[in-house]
Amino acid sequence: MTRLRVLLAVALALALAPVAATAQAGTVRGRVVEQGSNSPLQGVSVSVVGGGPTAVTNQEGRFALSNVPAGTRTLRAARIGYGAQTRSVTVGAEPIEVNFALGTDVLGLDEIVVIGYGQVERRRAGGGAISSIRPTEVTESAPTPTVENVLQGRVAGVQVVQNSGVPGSAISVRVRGASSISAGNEPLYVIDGVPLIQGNFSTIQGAIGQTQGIDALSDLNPNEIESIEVLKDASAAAIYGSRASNGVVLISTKRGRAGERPDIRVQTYMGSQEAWRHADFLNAEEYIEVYNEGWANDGYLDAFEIPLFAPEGQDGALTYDPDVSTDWIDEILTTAPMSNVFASIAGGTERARYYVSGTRFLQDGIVSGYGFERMNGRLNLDYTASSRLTLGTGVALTRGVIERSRGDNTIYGPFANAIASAPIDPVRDEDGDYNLNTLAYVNPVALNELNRAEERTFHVLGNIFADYRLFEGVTARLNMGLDQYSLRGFLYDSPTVPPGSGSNGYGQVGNSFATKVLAEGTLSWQRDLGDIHNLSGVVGSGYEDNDSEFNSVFGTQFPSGLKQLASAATVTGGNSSLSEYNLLSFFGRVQHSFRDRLTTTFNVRADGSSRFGENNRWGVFPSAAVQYRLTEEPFIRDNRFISDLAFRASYGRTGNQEGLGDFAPSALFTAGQNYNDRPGIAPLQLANPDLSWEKTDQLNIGADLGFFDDRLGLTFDWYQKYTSDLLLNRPIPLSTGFGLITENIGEMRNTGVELAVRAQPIRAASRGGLEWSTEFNISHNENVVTKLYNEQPISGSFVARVEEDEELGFFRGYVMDGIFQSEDEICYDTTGADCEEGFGYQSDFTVPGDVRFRDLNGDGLITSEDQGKIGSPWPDYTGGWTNNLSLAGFDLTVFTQFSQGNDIYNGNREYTDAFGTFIDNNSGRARNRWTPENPSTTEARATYDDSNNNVRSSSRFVEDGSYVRIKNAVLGYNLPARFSTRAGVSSMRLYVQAQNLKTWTDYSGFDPEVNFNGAASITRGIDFYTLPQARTYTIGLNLGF
Amino acid sequence: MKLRILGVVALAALAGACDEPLDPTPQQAIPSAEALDTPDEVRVAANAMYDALQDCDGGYCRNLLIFPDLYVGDLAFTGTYSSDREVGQATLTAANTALPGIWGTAYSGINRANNVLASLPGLQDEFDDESEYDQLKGEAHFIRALNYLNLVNFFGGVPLVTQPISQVPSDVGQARNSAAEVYAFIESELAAARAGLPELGSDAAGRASHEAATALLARVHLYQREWQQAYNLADEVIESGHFALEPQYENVFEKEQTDEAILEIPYTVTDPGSLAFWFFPGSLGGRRGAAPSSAFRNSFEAGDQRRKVAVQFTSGGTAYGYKYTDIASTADDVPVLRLAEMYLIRSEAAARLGRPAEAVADLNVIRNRAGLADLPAAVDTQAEALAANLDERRHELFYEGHRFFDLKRFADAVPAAQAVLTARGITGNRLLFPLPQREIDANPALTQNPGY
Repeated sequence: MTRLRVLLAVALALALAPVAATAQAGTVRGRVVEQGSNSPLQGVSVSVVGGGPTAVTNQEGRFALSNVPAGTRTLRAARIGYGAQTRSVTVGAEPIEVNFALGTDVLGLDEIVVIGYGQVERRRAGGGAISSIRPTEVTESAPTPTVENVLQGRVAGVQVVQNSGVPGSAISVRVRGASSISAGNEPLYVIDGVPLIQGNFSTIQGAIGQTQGIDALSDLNPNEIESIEVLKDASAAAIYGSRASNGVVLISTKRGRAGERPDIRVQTYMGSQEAWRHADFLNAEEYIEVYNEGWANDGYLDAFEIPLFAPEGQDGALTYDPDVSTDWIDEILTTAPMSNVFASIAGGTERARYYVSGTRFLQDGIVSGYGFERMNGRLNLDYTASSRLTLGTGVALTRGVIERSRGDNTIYGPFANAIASAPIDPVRDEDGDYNLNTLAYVNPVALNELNRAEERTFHVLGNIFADYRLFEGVTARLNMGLDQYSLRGFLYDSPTVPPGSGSNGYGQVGNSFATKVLAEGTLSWQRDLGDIHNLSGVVGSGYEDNDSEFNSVFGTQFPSGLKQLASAATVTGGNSSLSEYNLLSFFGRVQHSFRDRLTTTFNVRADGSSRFGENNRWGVFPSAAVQYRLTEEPFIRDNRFISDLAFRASYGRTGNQEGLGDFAPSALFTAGQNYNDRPGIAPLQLANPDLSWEKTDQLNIGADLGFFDDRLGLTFDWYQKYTSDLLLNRPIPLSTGFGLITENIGEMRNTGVELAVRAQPIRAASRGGLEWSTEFNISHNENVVTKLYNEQPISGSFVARVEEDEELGFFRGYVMDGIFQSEDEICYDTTGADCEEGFGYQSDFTVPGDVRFRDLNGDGLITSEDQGKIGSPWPDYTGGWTNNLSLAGFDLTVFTQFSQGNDIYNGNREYTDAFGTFIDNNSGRARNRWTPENPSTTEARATYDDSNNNVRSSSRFVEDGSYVRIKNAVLGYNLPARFSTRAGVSSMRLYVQAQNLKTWTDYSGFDPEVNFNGAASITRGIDFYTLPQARTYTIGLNLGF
Repeated sequence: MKLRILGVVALAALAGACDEPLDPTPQQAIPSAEALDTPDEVRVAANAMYDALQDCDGGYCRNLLIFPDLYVGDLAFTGTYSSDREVGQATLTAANTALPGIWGTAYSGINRANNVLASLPGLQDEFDDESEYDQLKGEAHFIRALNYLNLVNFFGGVPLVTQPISQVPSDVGQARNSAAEVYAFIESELAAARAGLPELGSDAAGRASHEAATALLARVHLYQREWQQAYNLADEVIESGHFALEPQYENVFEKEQTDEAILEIPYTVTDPGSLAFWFFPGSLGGRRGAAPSSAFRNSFEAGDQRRKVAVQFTSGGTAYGYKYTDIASTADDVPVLRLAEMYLIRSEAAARLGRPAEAVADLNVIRNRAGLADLPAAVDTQAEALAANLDERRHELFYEGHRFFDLKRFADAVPAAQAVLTARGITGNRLLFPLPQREIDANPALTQNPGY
C-alpha cells in the first residue's frame, strides 16, 4: 500500500515536467583562495546560478564544472564563513578558467540558509524571519549536550529553558512565546527533510512520578549538525502547514565534500559537574527549636506539659539524638563526570562523497540515580550518477541509556526527600544499615541507592533521496524518510524501602515504539529570466504515516538483589496500546525577485490529517512575504557607510495539530474497564466531528541593516501572532458521565520584538592579531489569552492559571499583606461586617505572627474569592550575548544568557516555610520567623497547626526569577600549523570550558532556570523539588588530520 | 478554497487503491454507535458499571470509605494531600480537588448503567436466557441507586440523569433535583432491582443480588427516617437465611466474601486498590494518608476485639489502621453491605419505634461477636439504646464510610453526636459537602449548597 503511495508521489513530482533535450555544454575550471592570505580554500561550493552542475573545491582550492550549458552564465562561489562571490562568464566549447578570492564573513550576514524542501537561499534573498546557527562553531569551540542547548540564548525570539538538571530530560523551546494551551508549544523539528518524532515515550513515567519527561530529541548529536535554521514567521514556516505554529527548526547534517584527502576529526572533552548552589536549610538544633516553638505557640506545651521533641527519656515526646544533624542535601549531591568523544571522517570525489561519524556522550547526574549515555553513529552518502541524477542517503543510529529517578512532585524522590527530610534523622543506624525509621519521609540516600529506573532507547533515523535535473534550473526530488524510535523502560523498587517495601519489591518493564514513514516528491526550479527577474519555487506532495505502540508489564515480590521483572513472583498486571495517524499534504512555494531589490514569496500548504474531524478534513495554510532591498538601488549602492538595508514584511497562517489525539473526533467506547477479572467496556469520549487544527495568523515586519562593509549587522523584527481555534479540553458537567470534550475554542495573541546585533569591533590587521567579534540578541514577547470557553478559567498546578485577558499560565493566589503584629490588627468577626476596611476575617485561631492576606473583594472575609494575579512566569525580555576574542592562537568565548522580569513560584516553600508545621525541614528563613521579640514583617511565626493556613498558595512564595548567567565560557588555544604538522595532525586545539560558570539572581531556590512540570504548557516557572542544573568544568582537545 | 478542492481531487486519485489513509480504524476502542448491539457487549458493559465503583478518585477504593471518618475526626489527616487536609480539618472549600472525584465517579457509573438500560430493550429477544436479561437490568437499576445514594449523602439533591449521554450537552446543563426526588428515584430503582435480581447465588460474589437491593433499600429508608420500612427490610435480609455473621470480626476483612457479605467489591491484583497503602505507614510500605485519631483509639471498651483492627502500632509507636491489610497487592475486598449493618439498622429502627429491648438484643449480637458482653441491663430506654447503637456503629463500621452520616442522623437523639459535630464546626451548612466548583463552572444550572 505504502509503495503505491510512493509511486504516486513520484508520479506527481515527475508528471509536471517533460524531460528536456540536452543542450550544448562546456567546462569551467578554476581556483578559490582566501582574500588577503591567498591560501587555497577547500570546501567552497561553486555553482551555476539558476541551476546546473555544482562542484566543491579540493585541498588546493581547485574545482571543475563540466556540462555547463553554453552561453553567458553566472557562477557563484560560497562557503560558510566567507562572503559569497558571483562572476559572469561566457561558456563555450573551449574550457575556461575562473578564479575567486573570498573574503571572510565572520558575521554570516549573507550566508546560505536552508528554507525547507531541499531549497536554500542567501540570507538576504528572502523576506522571511529566519535565524541560523552554525553549530560547527558552537560544538567545536563550546560543546553542549543537546541541540536545544545549542539554540539557547543564541537566537532572538527563541526562549530555551532547561527545565531541570535531570540529564537526558526534555528541554522547553518557545519560538516567539507560547501559542497554545493544550496542543503543545514545542517547535517542529525537521532533520534533512524528515520531520522528527518528538515527545515523551517513557513507559515508566507515571510509575516513577517524575514530572521531567524524556524526549526523543535528546538523541540528536550536535556534533554531526552542519546548520540549524529557525523559521519564525509565517512566511518561512507556512510550508510546514498544520504543524508550524510553534515555529520550525530545520536541521541539516554534515555531508562529505569532494577533495583529495579525507577530512578526519577527533574531538573529545571530559570534565566534572557539581551543584552550583546549596539552598539554605536548618540544622538539627534549629529544627528542634522551631518545631518546639510551634508546638508551644499553639498551646500544646501547656496542655500536655511535654515538648514536641525531647532528647530520649522524656515520655510522650518525639525523641531525637542530640548528636545527629544530617545535611540531607549534602548527602545526596555528588560530583559527577561528563565526557564526550567524537570522531568523523568526510571526503569523496566528484562522483561519490561520504561523511561518517561516531560519538559517545556520557553525563552522570549530580544525584547519582540520574545519568545519560548516548552513542551516535551517522553515515551520509551522496552519489552523482550523472550530470542529471544525484542520489543520497543519510542514516543515523542512536542508542541512549537514561538512568532515571523519582523527582519533583513525589514523596519518594531522592532529591525531593533530601529537601524535606528532618535533619534529626541519621542516614544510617547503629548497625550501619540505612535508617528507615525516619520521622516522615523515606531516607533519600536509601532511595537513591536501592531503587533503579532506566530507559534505553534505540533510534534509527534515515532518509534517501534522488535529485533529477529535468532541464536547466528544474529539479525533481524524491525523498523518503524513516524515523523509528524504540524504548525499553525498566523500573525496580527495592523491597527494602517504600514504595516497594509493602509489596516486597515492585518492578516494571515496558516497551514503546514509534514509527514515522515519510514519502514526498517535489519539483523545484530556479531561473534567471535575463538580468532583471529571477524566479524560483517548489511544488510537492507528501504522505506521512505515524504509528505508536506501547506495552508494559509489572510485578511484585522480588527476591533480594534481583531486579529484573523476570524475578518477580507475582505478575500483577500489564497494559498495551496501539494507535496511528496519517497526514497527506500538498505544498508549494514561489519566489520572484526583481533586480535583487524587490522579492516576493508565496507559500501554501494543504494538510489532510486523520486527526481532524470529518467536517474539517483539510487545512490550508497560505503565506506571503515581500522584501525591498534599498542597497541595490543606485542612489545608495555606493554608500560607504551602509552596506545593507532591507525591509521585510510577511503575513500568513500556520497550524498546530499536536493537541489532537489520534482518534479525538470520534465517539468511542474503550475496553479495560474490567471487574473481578471479567472484561468491561465503557464510554470513553463524545464525538466532535468539527474538530480541527489550531490556527495562527502571523504578521511580521522586519529590517536588516549592515554597516561598514558588514562589520556591523542589525536584524530587527516585530511580529504579531494571533492564534484562534485553540484546542481546549472544555470541562463539561461530570453529571454527563464525561469530564471533558476537546473543542476548538480559545484565542490568544502574542506580540513581540526581536533585535539581533552582530559586530566585529576589532578586526585583525594581520594573521594572529587581536580580533573581537560579538553577537547580541534580545527579545520581548507579550502574551495574552483573548478567549476561553464562556470565560471559564483553567487552572494548572499550584498557582498556574489561564484567564481571559491575562498571560497564559499567570500566577493566581492570595496576596500576602504583611504579618499581623498585634491582636488589634486581627478581625475575629466571622461575618466580616465589623472588620476594618482592608482587613478580613481569616479564622478564629489567627494570632499575631500569622500572615495577613488581603481582602481583595472587600467583603470582610478572606475566602477563595480573594485570589488575584500575583506573578507571571513570562519574562519581560530574554536574550544572549556572545563575545569572541582571539589573539595569537588563543581564543576566548564568553556566552551569557539572561532572562529578566519573570517570576518563579517557589512551591517548595509551601512546605519548607511552614515553620514548625509539617515535620519537613524548614528553610533558613525560619531563623527570622516572627516572635514577639522579633516582629518580622516578612516571615510568619512557628505554628504546629497552622490554623491560619499561612502556607496557602500566595504571593508570599512568588520570587523574582530574573537571572543573568554565564552559560558558557571557553578559553582555547590553537596550535600553530607548523607545530601541529610536526605532530602529525593538521590542526590541534586545546581548551578549557565552564558551563553555568556564574549566575546572578535574587531567586532563593536552587536554580532560577526551572520548570517542575517540564512538558506542561500552562504550568511554567514553578519550582517544586526540581533537580537544579550543574556547574560543569571540562577540558577538551580537538584534532584534525 | 480552490486548493482544498484540488487537494480533495488529488486525494481521491491517490486513495483509489489504498485503504483510507485519513480514516484509519481504531484498534483498541469501539465506535460508540456500534458498541452495545449484542447481548455479549451489554454483558461486558455491565461489568464496567461495577468497575466504576472500584475507582480510586471517588469510588470504594479510598475516599468513599475514608472521608466520612476523616471529616468528623475518627480518622486524622496524616498525609500530604491538601484536599484531604481540608476534609480532616472540616474546612472544605468548593475548590477541593477530591470533590470532583466523588461526584464524577458516581455519575460515570450512572452513565454506564444508563447505557446498559437503554440498550437492553432492543436486545430482549436475543438473550437466550430471559433471567439473564432481567438480572442485567436489575443490576443496572441497583448501580444507579447506589451511586445516587452516595451522591445524596454527600451533596444533598443532585441532577437525576437517567438517560445515556451521547451528545455534548448544551451550555446550561441539568439542574439539581431535590433530595426528596433523588430518594424517591433511589427507592423506585431498588424496587425494580429487587424485582429483577435473583436471590444470592454462589457465583454472585461481587454482584448485586435481590438481597443486596433489599439491604440497600433498608439503609435508604433508615436515612430517610422511615423506621418501619427500614426495620422490615433489614429483618427480611437477616431472616433470609443466606447470611451469617463471621465468628471472628477480623476475618470479615481478612477472609473476604464471607457469609456475612451482602455485597463486597472484589479487588484483584490488577485493580488499582490502595486502601492498605493508604493506611499503612512508610516503614511498612504505605503512605499513611490518614490514621486513627487518639479520640477514636481510646473510645473502645476493654476487650473489644475490633480495636486491633481499628489500630495497630509500629515499633516506633506510629498508629495506623488495620482493616485493609493486603499491602502486598492492595487487593483487599471492600464491604459495601454486610449483615452486621442489618442488625444495626434493625436495632436502630426498633429503638426509634420505641422498642428498646429489641434494639438492645440486636446490639448484643454484634457485641458478642466482638468479644464483648451484653450491654448492661440498665440500658433500657430509647435514648440509651440509640446512644449504644451509635457507639456500636462507630466501633463496628469504621473505615467503611458511615460515621459522618451516622452522626448527622443521630444528632437529634444522641447529645454526644451533636457535640462531636459542633466541636468540629460541622453544623448548619457544613452538614453537606459543597458541590465541586468545576461542576458549578461547567453547569450554570447548578446552585451551590449554601455557605460555600
